[in-house]
Amino acid sequence: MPVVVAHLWSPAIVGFETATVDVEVDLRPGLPSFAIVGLPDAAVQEARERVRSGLANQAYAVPARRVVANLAPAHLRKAGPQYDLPIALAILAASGQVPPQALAGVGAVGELGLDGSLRRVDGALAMGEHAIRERWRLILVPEQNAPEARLVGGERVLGVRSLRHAVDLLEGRETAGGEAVDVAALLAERDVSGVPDLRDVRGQAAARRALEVSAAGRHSLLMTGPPGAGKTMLARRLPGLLPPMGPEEAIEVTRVHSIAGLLEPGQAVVATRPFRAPHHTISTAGLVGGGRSPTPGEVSLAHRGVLFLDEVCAFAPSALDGLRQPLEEGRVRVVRAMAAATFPADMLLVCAGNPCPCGNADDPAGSCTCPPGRPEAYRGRLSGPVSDRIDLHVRVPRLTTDEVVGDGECEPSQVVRERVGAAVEFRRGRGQPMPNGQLSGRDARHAARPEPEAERLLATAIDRLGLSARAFDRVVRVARTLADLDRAERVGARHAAEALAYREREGSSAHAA
Amino acid sequence: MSGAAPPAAAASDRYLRLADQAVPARLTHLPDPPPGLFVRSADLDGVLAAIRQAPVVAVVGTRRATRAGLDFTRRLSSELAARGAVVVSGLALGVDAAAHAGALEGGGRTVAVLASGVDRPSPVRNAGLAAGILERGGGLVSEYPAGTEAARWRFPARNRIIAALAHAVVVVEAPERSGSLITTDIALDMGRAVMAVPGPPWGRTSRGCNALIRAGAAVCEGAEDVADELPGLDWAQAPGSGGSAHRPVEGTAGRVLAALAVEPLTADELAESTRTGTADVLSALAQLEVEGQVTEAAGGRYRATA
Repeated sequence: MPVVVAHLWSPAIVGFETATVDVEVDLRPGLPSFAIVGLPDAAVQEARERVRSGLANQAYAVPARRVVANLAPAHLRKAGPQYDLPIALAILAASGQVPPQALAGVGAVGELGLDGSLRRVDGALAMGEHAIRERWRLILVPEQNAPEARLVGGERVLGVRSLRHAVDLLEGRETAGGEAVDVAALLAERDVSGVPDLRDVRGQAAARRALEVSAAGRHSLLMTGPPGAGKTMLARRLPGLLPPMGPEEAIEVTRVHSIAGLLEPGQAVVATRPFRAPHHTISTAGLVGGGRSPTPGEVSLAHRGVLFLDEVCAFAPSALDGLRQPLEEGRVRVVRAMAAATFPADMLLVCAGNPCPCGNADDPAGSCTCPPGRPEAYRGRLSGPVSDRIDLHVRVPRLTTDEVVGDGECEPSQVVRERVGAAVEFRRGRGQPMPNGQLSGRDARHAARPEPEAERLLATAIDRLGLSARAFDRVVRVARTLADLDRAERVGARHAAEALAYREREGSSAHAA
Repeated sequence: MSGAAPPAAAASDRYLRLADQAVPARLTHLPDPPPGLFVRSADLDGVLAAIRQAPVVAVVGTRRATRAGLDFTRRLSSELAARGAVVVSGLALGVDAAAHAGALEGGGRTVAVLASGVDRPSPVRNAGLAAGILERGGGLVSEYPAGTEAARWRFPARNRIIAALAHAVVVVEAPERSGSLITTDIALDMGRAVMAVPGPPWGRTSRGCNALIRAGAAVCEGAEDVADELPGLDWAQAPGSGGSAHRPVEGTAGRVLAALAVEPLTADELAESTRTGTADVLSALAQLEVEGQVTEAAGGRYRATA
């Protein structure tokens, strides 16, 4: 048996980026042993047992030599069981059971079962993309990951069922259905039956309108109301009001969900906008991303979709503070001891809160039982970075019985989505690619071009309602979106007035409360 | 003198002995009158003259008031102030604070009787309100010298001064065992008018008021009732009776205003009752709000101010 060093590539996920890991195997004379070097973590070390059993159970010989597998570059931390397949293939090539040239230009990734079958890995979409960027000839991925990997990797991606299947593919004894995936076609046939529809929501016209404005201008939204008013139900309907994702957006979202390991086995693409509703006990790392090697948090899992924070005042202040960067930049940089990573986090923030800890501060009938000062202190937790970025504030009152029971068809999401789409088109037609919710105060004022009457109204409002400069900018941004919904080039008085209705209302009653 | 509380720019202090001409004689009707009063005001003579000459109405109630109760208190005090009354209260949280704030909104003088020195109005959360009272020609009054800290045991004593200064005591919301009822007891002993705002029988904060009414207190449903209870005092012409400052409103705004004149409504209810789109209703509401014809009440409801 000639002694050779066999090698092939394997893609590694580093935060949100990818890197090439060179997997080399050398067989040296000496007592039989198996070592893995190159900064491997515990899961990589355990590859020795899986690879040995996998090889044996697929009827390959385990070389009775000193086996050294090296994962290069040595400074990069290798994590997870995904190097099982490349190590096994390199051993086969080094020991002459597979011709070494079959591995030329090949990348492989996958966890081995003890029987030699393959298990899925996380981040296959980005790995397929990596193979294309690095001009690899082929990339072998577990069959369950093949659909997502093909989104970008196309026909260079081969789905593998087992170790022997991998060898058969490499030696050309078998061909895999390696074909490009048409993302647009996948999206066209997406199943939207699971997306909640506005048709099912009774009453709450003001909140419905706020959802529409939020969707049209990508304005973050805060709903305040007593428990049971339907805040969560309303928030769940927001993703369905946003224009459907295009292929590029869908790939971005799928990449994040793939890296986080949230795709269903065999799922190719996340076709509908994500809706993430983390519980208020979530840690800062869970919300914005973190972990020993950085993994995406809820803000990134909600990328291109909706992040819903129910009971927003109950979230840890530090967690809410972490929302500042995502809200401003649409991405989040996570710096940990081991590495730093930047994840996309362009989400629409929707918060819901009770007016006070007991939830009844607003109820005209039942009296609130909170001690004085508690409701203010409670709402105060939201102030600062988050409330500064919330453009729309809306009250969601508890419905009376006739409102809940009353009949009459409610407007379906489809109709609202069409209006939203038209507003987005109109905004682009004005020559403004950026949604109004993301405009700076200056740009918003410039884009609004208020009519004289609107200008007068806004000036009076600053005076009479005591609007701060930031609050004023929020009103202008919302007014611009209302004008877009109306297909009006300039912001009119009624747009300005309606925008004022969504302003933050606090402090005005601070004395009496 | 302590610099803890920021004194209003031009506010000055004065100590008035009970025998002083500036002190209203009503105070001497107390069985245990204080030897004198410390008064802080930006307009000492003005506020003392007002206490002697204008109707003085104490508006008191629980610290733990309902939103609806607070809204009513503000409206009541604002109307009383607009009718020329001096609103007296104790600067406490809840009804007291709403009473002072409402009086300021109504453009009137209001007097806070403290259980601490006039240089350290308490609670601290109402320091801004205290500054507002001074700024607008009102006064802070105490029988304790500067530097005295507030203490719970001083509250009943403070309440007797509120009762003594007022021509009438109005209790807005009070549970069964409320400090406000100490004020009304003293007021009754001194022969002052005692009025109570009736509340729903299921409300914790209605018990005290309803008990007062059962015991013979007059019902107060607004400033009009107080004026009727205190005839012969120097009431100003009720505002609004001669030409409103608000211009008549037409279109959606007019319909919204008409609907709100009946009862406070949410935007949804307004859209329903005026048969107008939500966007138009919200737009009309905000315009009316900017013009000061409508304000937001509890629970996302709006009400007409006029």
